Amino acid sequence: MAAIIPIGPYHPALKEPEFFKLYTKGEEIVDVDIRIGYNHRGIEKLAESMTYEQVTFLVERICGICSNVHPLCFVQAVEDIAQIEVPDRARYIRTIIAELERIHSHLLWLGVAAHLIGFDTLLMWSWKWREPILDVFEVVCGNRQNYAMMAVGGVRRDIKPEHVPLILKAVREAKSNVKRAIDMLMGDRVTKARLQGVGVLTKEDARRYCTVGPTARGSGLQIDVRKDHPYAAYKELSFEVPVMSEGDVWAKTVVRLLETIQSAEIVEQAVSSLPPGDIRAEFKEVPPGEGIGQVEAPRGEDIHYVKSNGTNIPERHKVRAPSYVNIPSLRPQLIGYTIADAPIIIGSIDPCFSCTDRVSIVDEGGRERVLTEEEFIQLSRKHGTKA
Amino acid sequence: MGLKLKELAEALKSAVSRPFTVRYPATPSPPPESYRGRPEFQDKCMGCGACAEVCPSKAITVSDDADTRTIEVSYGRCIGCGQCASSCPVEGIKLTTQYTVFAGPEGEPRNSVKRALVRCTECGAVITTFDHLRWLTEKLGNLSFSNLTLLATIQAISAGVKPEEVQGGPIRPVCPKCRRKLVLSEHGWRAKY
Amino acid sequence: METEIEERKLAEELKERLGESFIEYELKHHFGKKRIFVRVKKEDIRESAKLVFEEYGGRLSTISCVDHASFFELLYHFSIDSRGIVVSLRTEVPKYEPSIDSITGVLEGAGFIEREIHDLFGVEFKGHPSPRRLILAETWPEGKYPLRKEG
Repeated sequence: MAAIIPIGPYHPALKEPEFFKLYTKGEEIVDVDIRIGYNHRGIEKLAESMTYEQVTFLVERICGICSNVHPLCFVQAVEDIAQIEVPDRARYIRTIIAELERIHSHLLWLGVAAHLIGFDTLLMWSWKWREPILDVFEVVCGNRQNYAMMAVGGVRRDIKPEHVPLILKAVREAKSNVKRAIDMLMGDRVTKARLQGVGVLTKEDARRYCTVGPTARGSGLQIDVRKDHPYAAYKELSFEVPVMSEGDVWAKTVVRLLETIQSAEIVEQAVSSLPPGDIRAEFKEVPPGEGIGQVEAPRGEDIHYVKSNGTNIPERHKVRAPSYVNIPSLRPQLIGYTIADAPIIIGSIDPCFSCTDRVSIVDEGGRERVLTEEEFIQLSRKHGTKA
Repeated sequence: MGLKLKELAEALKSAVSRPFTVRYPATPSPPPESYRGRPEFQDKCMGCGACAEVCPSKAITVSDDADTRTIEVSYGRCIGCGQCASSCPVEGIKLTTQYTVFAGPEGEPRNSVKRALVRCTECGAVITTFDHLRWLTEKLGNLSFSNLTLLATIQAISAGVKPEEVQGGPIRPVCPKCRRKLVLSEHGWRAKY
Repeated sequence: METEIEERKLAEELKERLGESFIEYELKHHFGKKRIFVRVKKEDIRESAKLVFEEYGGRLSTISCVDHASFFELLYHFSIDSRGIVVSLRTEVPKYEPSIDSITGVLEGAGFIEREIHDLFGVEFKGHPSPRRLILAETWPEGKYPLRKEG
């Protein structure tokens, strides 16, 4: 029982590396130690040797799923420094791309969450439902990910009239598919039992850990950068921000699904009221100064701080992705629940690395065993709820 | 109960309809026209090197030997951002829709272009390519006459001289440092006093 | 400026509440974005952060660190979501003695970022509950801070 199997953090079978050490008493988790940093790529240091134009491409590649969020946040920080007014059309296009990304990111999450609890049909379907959105990106932006759309002062490519029917069709389909998913989940007793009352994050803890995004909104915090610190075209569009108060995995799931429907409606509004004009503002240089950009990513608030020294290369670029503040909040969310529930709890905050790859479990006798990702997920899929 | 019927209907539909996925690579999967694939140098390229300056991943390299400039893009490093194409003044590099990149025994695939290089006749430093100089004379029009190197270019073009022979003409191309030295020594106060 | 009223009001309130800790403030208003940069004494960072967090509902977005050759400039960015204002507390620590009180005891959300700044810049956060390496590999040598300008 005391065998420790060294696996990873890098191993061909693993997705993205991070490390959770679960201290257990029987099946119950009593403490959690989280270690990150396996994917540290030195992006902030690299940004100090690239021009502002080049940095937009660098930060796209921080994350594959929220690939639009980081360049948008960065260019907003630079526009903050240089006091650049972004043309209306560009602001609307930014909004459309951002919301399309939210839709596909939430659908991807839905599939992953379903997979973690053994509901593979929903995984296949939700990832299929994503495809029309990715096809829209391919036609409009030139790629399914890494859209190369955000530029300081505006966007790089325009949305042409022939793209509009494609976009509308894709979001309408996504909307009706998500409604179908909500019906499926609401009517499924077994799934609800797996997700309700599990991984509760209290409102107080959500505030102390400064969590953001659906993780915070599932616990009753009414925060959303699109409403609190409006950017792009959000001030001109009408939409709701769903908030639930239970704080469990079910609440976070419902928040994300309702958000997806709102995103589809935002895209419909933005596309039908797309103003004419330029897609990029001219600007001479970036004067010395500092700027902050904030964007509501699918996972929560993304914030970039940029300090410029008057050259065309940033002096300092601080990136804080939303998962960074959400991950420490897993500690109160995991304690008191079972090992079998751990994968879905970790998945419920939609960490920007898909799910745990290496989990080490330490029981009350101090004996440690290491599970691979497969073994960990199998525990979750087979053993069901703690009840 | 009603929900299970919906799901059953979906399952039956899936069983009889075509699968959503395609058997790639047996079935080709061509991307749309607007897809940002790997870049290719065109004949219009003048060898100015603007693409290499802006490339975020340093995939484009410029190497100069005695009389030739080679600009090469490495498909392994290229991220398909399209900055090279949008910064090029003459559409000398364009993105194709190629997305497959296979590295063979010689390394990853590359695409390159060669252009005749003009060097300073005084010190040998690189000025730029002949095609770039020609483009500059076209852009600047009459203003070109104020610059020795551009003058040499115009001379060479009207005399029908080959790019490699530009350096041997009656008006010699020189780099900015040497031009200043020459002007001061031949026409400046040294000549006077 | 008419549009700066909200931030100015909040900045003046903070100035009064912070008292001795307050040094100066700077307002930045650009196309609807409201920002206040408040310089505070580094000895009082815990109290200042506590004030913004508890009394004004500020959510710590992140802490950014800039290497200015002889000192580090730390900015604690608090987002006051209910008012759409970002309050950034600015303070400095000299490079020859780069240490400041940790604010993790006041809000857990600072835990990771303080450890990261220690890893990358070498700033010591006194009183941090678990001051272990966060993002550098175990094999990375001690004393070498990658984001310092000399690094």
